[in-house]
Amino acid sequence: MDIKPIFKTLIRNPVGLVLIATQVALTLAIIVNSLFIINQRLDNISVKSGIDEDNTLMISFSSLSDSYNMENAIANDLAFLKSLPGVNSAMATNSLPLSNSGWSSGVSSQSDYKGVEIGSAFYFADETLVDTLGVDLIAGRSFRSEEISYYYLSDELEPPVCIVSADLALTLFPDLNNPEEVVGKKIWYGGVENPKFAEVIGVINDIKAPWRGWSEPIFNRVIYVPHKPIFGKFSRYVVRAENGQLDNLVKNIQTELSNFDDQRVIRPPRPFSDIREVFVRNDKGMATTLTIVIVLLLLINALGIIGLVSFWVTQRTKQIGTRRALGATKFDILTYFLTENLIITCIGVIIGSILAMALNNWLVTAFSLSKLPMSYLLGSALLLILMGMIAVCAPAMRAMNVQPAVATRSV
Amino acid sequence: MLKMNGLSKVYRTHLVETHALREFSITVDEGEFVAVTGPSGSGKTTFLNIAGLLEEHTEGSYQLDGIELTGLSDRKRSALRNEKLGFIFQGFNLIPDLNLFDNVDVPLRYRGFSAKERKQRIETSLEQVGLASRMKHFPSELSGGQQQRVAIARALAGEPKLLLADEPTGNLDSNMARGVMELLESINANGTTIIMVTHDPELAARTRRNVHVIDGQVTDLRTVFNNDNVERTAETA
Ligand SMILES: Nc1ncnc2c1ncn2[C@@H]1O[C@H](COP(=O)(O)OP(=O)(O)OP(=O)(O)O)[C@@H](O)[C@H]1O
Ligand SMILES: [Mg+2]
Repeated sequence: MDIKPIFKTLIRNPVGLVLIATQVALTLAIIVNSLFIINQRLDNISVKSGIDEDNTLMISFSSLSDSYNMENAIANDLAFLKSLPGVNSAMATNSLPLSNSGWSSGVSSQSDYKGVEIGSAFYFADETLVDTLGVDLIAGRSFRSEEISYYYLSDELEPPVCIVSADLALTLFPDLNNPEEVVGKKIWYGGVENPKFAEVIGVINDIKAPWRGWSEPIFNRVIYVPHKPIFGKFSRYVVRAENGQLDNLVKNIQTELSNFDDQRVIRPPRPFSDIREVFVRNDKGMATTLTIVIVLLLLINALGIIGLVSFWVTQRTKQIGTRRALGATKFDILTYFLTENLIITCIGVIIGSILAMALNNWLVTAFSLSKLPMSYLLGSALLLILMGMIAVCAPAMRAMNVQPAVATRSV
Repeated sequence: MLKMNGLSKVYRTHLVETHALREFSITVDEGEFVAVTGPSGSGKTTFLNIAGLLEEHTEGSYQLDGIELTGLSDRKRSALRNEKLGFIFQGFNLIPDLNLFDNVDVPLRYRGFSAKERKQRIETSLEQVGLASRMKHFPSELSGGQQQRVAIARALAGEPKLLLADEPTGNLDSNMARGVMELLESINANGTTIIMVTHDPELAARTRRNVHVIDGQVTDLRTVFNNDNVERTAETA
């Protein structure tokens, strides 16, 4: 194609070139970074909690009087829940992955906390841990019923044994490569003044903490302790339904528990889908907003190209007729405008790529985002070039159909 | 060279039909210089456009250089325009954003010549019109007469068999017009057939053959008529 004369013409009339190239450049810079952020958010949204999400619900209660026997209530409730049709398993706990509230504390592989102190989430569980949550136990064993005790808020937390997430295990013991080898090791907690340890008896794969954690990556670091928690007059259960029975259970469980023992207030149950929904709400909002921004920018970009090229075609009608008279085929005229547009978009894309990287650099330092992969830049550049070509088609076809007679007829 | 037989051209809009040409027959031989005259709206430009393949005729037959032109594809017509025809317009029709060199280059690129051949042809034809020294100038930096010379150079660069000019001097003062006319005459002397529409009886009188178009029909005035008679015929029509 004859790029040289087209390029010369553009250089002589740089206003349109500068206008559209700038627009393309800015669009590219914003789109690339938006796409990148969207993708990170989508990763966040699709996070796996590590438990059987589809069949899990959480339900809490508070007793009405101080003399209410919480231990009996928990024991009876759990027996009752397990006897309900549609219930697979149930246990008392403090929190679930992604629930945005829970406990955390620093732990270490050494009593003097030399080496490192690692932040970790603490969950409570009983001997039904694997059945109730559907977690993936990859080494060691689960709790035994004789290891389980009640835990009151006023107590020191002193679990003799614990089950840890594989990520925590390998962070605490970086020299070990196999989770199997962590079983039997001691994990220290309670601080330097009052060091206590729990022996690791099992390792769980891919379980998440209640929150992501900003300064340190607590999200994959989890410890299960063998307790049924009693927080004053309050406790909570996690219930795993049989496949397909969760909706039914969510509908009835509050009434069933109230009827079973009316000396306390049963809160409405929360299916795990609710917990996840709240957890990913911000990410979803951000991804949606940015998607809308991208679509709008692409549209504005396309409209800008359509507008300018339409103007050019009108302005150059006589020139197009003359070119046709001098021997240009319709195809020659079409490719002229496509090439011209391609040149402009490519200049915009090159400037935009530089801008995009600068913008990303700034985002990296200002908001500690990660570095932009090249594939995003290439993908967005191609997307913009493609959009530009589609946008230019309508005015270019109008140019193609300018009659050669225009050369002699128009003034 | 050019042979039209019983040609007609009808412009149809949703309101009216204009018969711009009817029963139009003419033969132009190789090497002729034909001046086409006639009142405004009589169909001169229409004739030239059809002759130059810029428009299609409605009825009749048209042969150019031995090729029957009825029903040719657009691509084929474009190629014929490019190879066999040269155009000169009243308004010069140079491309304002290209310098003289690139303006003359336009039809040569469509022809697919090599860069070397194009350069040589551009230089030769610009020399022929006396503007070789201003190759890098832009049209806006030239006088009207000079611009028309560039347009002639552009038409000549492809070595056309037939040169078509629609009032080539219409926008020029009489001095510049004479210069352009002399250039056309020398081109004709080199063997190129020329058909030129003009309103200027003085210029028309300089050609060997005058064709008078009235109301879409042709009255061929070979050189038997002198200038005055041409005028009279036009008035009585
Ligand atoms: N595209 C068109 N649509 C409809 N009618 C047209 C069109 N082009 C030309 N005509 C009509 O055809 C007739 C011949 O026009 P043409 O331009 O050939 O005249 P002309 O002899 O060149 O006139 P002038 O000396 O003013 O240039 C006129 O009546 C004109 O109005
Ligand atoms: Mg005319």
